[in-house]
Amino acid sequence: MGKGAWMMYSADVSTAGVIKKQISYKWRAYISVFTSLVVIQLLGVLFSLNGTGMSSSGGRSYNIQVEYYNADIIMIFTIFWGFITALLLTTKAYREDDFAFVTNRMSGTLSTILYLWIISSIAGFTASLSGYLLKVVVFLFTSQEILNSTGAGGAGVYLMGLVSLILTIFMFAGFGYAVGMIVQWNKMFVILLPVLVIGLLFSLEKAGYSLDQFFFQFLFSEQSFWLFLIKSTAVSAAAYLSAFLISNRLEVKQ
Amino acid sequence: MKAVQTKELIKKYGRRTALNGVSFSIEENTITGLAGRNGAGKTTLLKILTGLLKESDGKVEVYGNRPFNNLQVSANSIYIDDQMNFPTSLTLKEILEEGRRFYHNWDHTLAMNLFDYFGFHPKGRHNELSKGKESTFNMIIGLASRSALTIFDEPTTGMDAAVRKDFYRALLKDYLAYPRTILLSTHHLEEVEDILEDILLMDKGNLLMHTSMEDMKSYAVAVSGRKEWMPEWMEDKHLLYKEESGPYEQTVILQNNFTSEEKEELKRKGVQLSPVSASDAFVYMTGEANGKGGVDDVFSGRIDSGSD
Repeated sequence: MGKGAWMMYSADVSTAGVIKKQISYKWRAYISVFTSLVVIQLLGVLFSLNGTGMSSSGGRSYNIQVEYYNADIIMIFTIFWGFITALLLTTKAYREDDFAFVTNRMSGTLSTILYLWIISSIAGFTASLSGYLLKVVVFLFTSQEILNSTGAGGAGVYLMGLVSLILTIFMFAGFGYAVGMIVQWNKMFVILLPVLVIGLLFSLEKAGYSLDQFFFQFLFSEQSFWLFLIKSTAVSAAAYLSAFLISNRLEVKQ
Repeated sequence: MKAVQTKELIKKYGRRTALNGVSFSIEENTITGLAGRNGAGKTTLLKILTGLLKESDGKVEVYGNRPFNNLQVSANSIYIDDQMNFPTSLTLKEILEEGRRFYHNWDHTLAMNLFDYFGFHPKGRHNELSKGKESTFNMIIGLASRSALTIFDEPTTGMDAAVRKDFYRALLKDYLAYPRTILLSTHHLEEVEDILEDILLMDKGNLLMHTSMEDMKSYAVAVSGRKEWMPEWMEDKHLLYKEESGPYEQTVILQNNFTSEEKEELKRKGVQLSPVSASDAFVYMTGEANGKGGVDDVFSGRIDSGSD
């Protein structure tokens, strides 16, 4: 650019363009979230090796012992990882990383939400694969026969399970993100929030509504994949929207 | 279009007022200094201009946009201070690469050349830098971004004398080659008075003056001589500072708006007039001229807070 044509100011800034840059920036900047993902999934595999159940039967000269293994713990750990990771992204250090370069609150929050979606998908995918890792480990390091007991099989079922898992991780990441934003907004909520949640649970329980009915049954006992998809998306949207609204009120540096 | 424009700008932190109705405007492609003592409101003002803080009241515009939460302003401005946070997972070189992706005017050659010149290690980490090195690195980002509005808030914190000199020289050279609006806050006015065109002077959340550096250099004058030589009309002059040396001699710092007759009269009486540098004038203006004389009074017992 020659000196004569030197234009300092650019009015040509698109939100979508900035969000794209921010997602790739966050991908590189927050690379450590994958370290914690690997660690937590390996831990999940380790804990799963204990088996979730056992039945044994035997006769005079034989003894059959069946151990049940599944990847539930790995998935629960991964969901927990999603919650904590999103919570961490709302802390001051991470939010200031956000504002190290070009951004505003909307692009910052939107790019974080999209980033959370990407890492939730990766985490869900690796969690679903770690079920196979579990089988391999059991096969290699124990002297047991492997009996696959998948009721329904096929790519379709795997895909539905995968999508449901990703949605669940993303939803809990949304909870973490919203909780984190609320706490950043006013530190008093560190104490207030658990008190409110537990208090609410107690009073609901007393009134005859349990958390089980309200939340877990509503979401996780859903037999229809499509209904679950709609329900979890709605709950996620509510969580992310509240986080977005709060983040719009936060000043960056004080 | 004005680069920066504020009108009755107010910022409150709870009950404390940090900015108390500040109004000024800055032309495009000028280099302006912002001077003021600690707690004068410099940082608050600069952070509002780059949209990092939200104003409590009044109007603020950067290139015609309200800065808070504005992507346009963020893309065209940069705020550099000694507390910048960068992801700890990125190396110094990677941070510069990110800057290149985000700022449309970014000059990567300049960034890398300065990076080498100041002896940074490409694999170094921002959080492992010493205070002075950190300021130097941040300065490189500020220069290389070539943002239309470039703001340096106390950029030389921790830098040694040689690096400070290099920084001011690099700033001036790059500014001349690629004019842009630069705001530079400092409390070492003497170091920057040669590169500044204009100066904003702040004290306790108020804007004291906004003037050219030339005017600032001749703003105040020192008048010294025996007390009885001082003419009576001097009482009406705007007094900035008064110092008594012995029982008879005194030096007063006054605003430099004497008529030629007044100067004649002073000369006749044997009173000496001597120039006051811009940085000294700044110290006198923001010091507590009326009432508290200086830190000496604390030790002489003239200042007593009433507590035991």
